[in-house]
Amino acid sequence: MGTMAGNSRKVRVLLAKSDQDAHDRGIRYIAEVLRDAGVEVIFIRYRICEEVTEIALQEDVDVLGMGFYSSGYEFDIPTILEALKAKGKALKFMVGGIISGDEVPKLKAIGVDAIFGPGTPTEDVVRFVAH
Amino acid sequence: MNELLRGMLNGDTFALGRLITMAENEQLELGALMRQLRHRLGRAYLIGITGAPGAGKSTVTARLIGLMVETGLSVGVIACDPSSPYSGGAVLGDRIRMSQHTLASGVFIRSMATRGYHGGLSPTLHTVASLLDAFGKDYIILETVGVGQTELDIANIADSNVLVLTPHAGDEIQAMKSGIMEIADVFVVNKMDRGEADATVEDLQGVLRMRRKAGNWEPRIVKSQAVEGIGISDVFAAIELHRRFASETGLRDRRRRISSKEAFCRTLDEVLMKRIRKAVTSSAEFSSYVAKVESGELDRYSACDELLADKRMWRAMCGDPPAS
Ligand SMILES: Nc1nc2c(ncn2[C@@H]2O[C@H](COP(=O)(O)OP(=O)(O)OP(=O)(O)O)[C@@H](O)[C@H]2O)c(=O)[nH]1
Ligand SMILES: [Mg+2]
Repeated sequence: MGTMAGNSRKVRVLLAKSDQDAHDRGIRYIAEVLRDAGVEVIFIRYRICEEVTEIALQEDVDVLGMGFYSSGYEFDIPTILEALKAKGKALKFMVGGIISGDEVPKLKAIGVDAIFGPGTPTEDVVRFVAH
Repeated sequence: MNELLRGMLNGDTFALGRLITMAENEQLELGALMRQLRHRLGRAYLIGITGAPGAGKSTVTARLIGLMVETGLSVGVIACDPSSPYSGGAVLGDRIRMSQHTLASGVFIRSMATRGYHGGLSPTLHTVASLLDAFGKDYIILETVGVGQTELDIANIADSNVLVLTPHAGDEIQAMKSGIMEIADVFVVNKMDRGEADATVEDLQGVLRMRRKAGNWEPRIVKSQAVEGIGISDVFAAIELHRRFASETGLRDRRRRISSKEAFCRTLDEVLMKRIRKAVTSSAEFSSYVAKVESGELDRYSACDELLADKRMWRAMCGDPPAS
C-alpha cells in the first residue's frame, strides 16, 4: 500500500537550440504549443553538445527536440545521440528547422525519430511528443 | 528502485534524474525510498529563493551557484514554475539563465512544475530535496515564483529564505506588511541599475524596524545587479550569517521540526483524500446520489450529508481495521 498512486505523469520535453542560431522564435512557439497540450517543456540554448546530454539526464526528459536554422546539425545530432546511448538514456528525438532533403534518411538511420520541416502543422509535433 | 538508488549514491546523475521523475510521478514506494535515504539526510543546507515574476530569481540563483562552485561547494537547484491551470503543461524557463553552470562540477539543476497544488507547492518538492540531500549536495537552492501559497510553502521547507525584490516595489512592500515579511531572512533589492534601489531599501528598513524584536533574527537587506554579479557575494554572506544565527539559536532545528510536521500533515491529507475519495466515488451509492443531484431531486449539500451518513459508505471509506 503506502502512497503509490501513479496519477500525475507528465511528458517532459527538452527543446534545445544552438547558441549560434540567432533564430529561436519557432522553437519558442513550439514550446508554448506543447505546454498548451499538457506537456512540461524545458527550453535551453547550448554552446557545446555535452550540455544538451547532461541536461537531458538531469531533467530526465522523455523527448528531446532540437531546432536548426543553420548548419551544425551534421555534427551535433550524432554526437548527442551517441552520448545519450552511452549513458543508457532512451528518449524520442525530434529535429526541426531547415534540414536538406538528402540528409533526412541519414538522420533517421542514426536514430532521429522525427524530422519536422518548416510549415509542419503543430498538431503533428504534439502527436509525436504526447503519444 | 534499488539499482537506481545505488547508482545515485555512487554519484550517477542519470540515476538521480530518474529517481526524481519516479518520485514526482509517484511511480515508486515513497516510504521505502525515504527509509533507504534516512541515514543520509540532513547534511545539505536549503536556501529558498522567491519573489515576483521576473524579479531576477534565476539570475541571482545562477550567480550564487557560481560563488558556491568557486569555493568548491556542490549545489543542487530545484527550479519551480507554475503549471498551466488550463492544460496542466508548463514552460520551465528558469534553467536557461543558469546555463553557464550546466557542466560545472557538483552542479545539478532540475526544473519542476507545480502540478496543480492550488497555487502551492507539490509535497513531492520535499522528497526531491531529500534526494539531492542524499546525493551529497552542500547546498540546495529552491527557486519558486512568489505567488500566494508557494512562498509560505517554501518558507516551511528552506533553512534560509531569500526574497528578491526590484526597485519600485514600494506598493508591494506596503502590501507585504504581513505574511511574507516575516518569512524572508534576506531581502535582495535586485536590478539596482533600474531605479531607486536606495529608496526601496529605506522602505524595507522602515517596515522591518517596526517588527524588530530582541533575540530574533534581524533580516538583512542587500542591493544587487545580478546580471553583472554585483552584490551577490553580499547575498551569500547574508545567507551565511543567517545560517550561523539559526544554528546557534536553535532556529534551524525548530524550523526543521515544523517543516517535517507540515510535510507529514500534507502527505496525510493527500493520502486520506485519495483513499476516501476513491472509496466514495466508486460506490453504487455515489452514482445514485449523482443522479439525484443531476436531476435536481436533491441539492448537493443534502446529498453529501445523506451519502456520508450511509452505513455502507462508512464501511467503504474506513475499510476493515489493519490486521495487527
Ligand atoms: N537590468 C537588470 N536586469 C536584470 C537583473 N537581474 C535580472 N535581470 C533580467 O531580468 C529578467 C528576468 O530575470 P530572471 O532571473 O529570469 O527572473 P526570475 O525572477 O527568475 O523570473 P521568473 O522565474 O520568470 O519569475 C531577465 O531578462 C534578466 O536578464 C539586474 O540586476 N538588472
Ligand atoms: Mg526564474
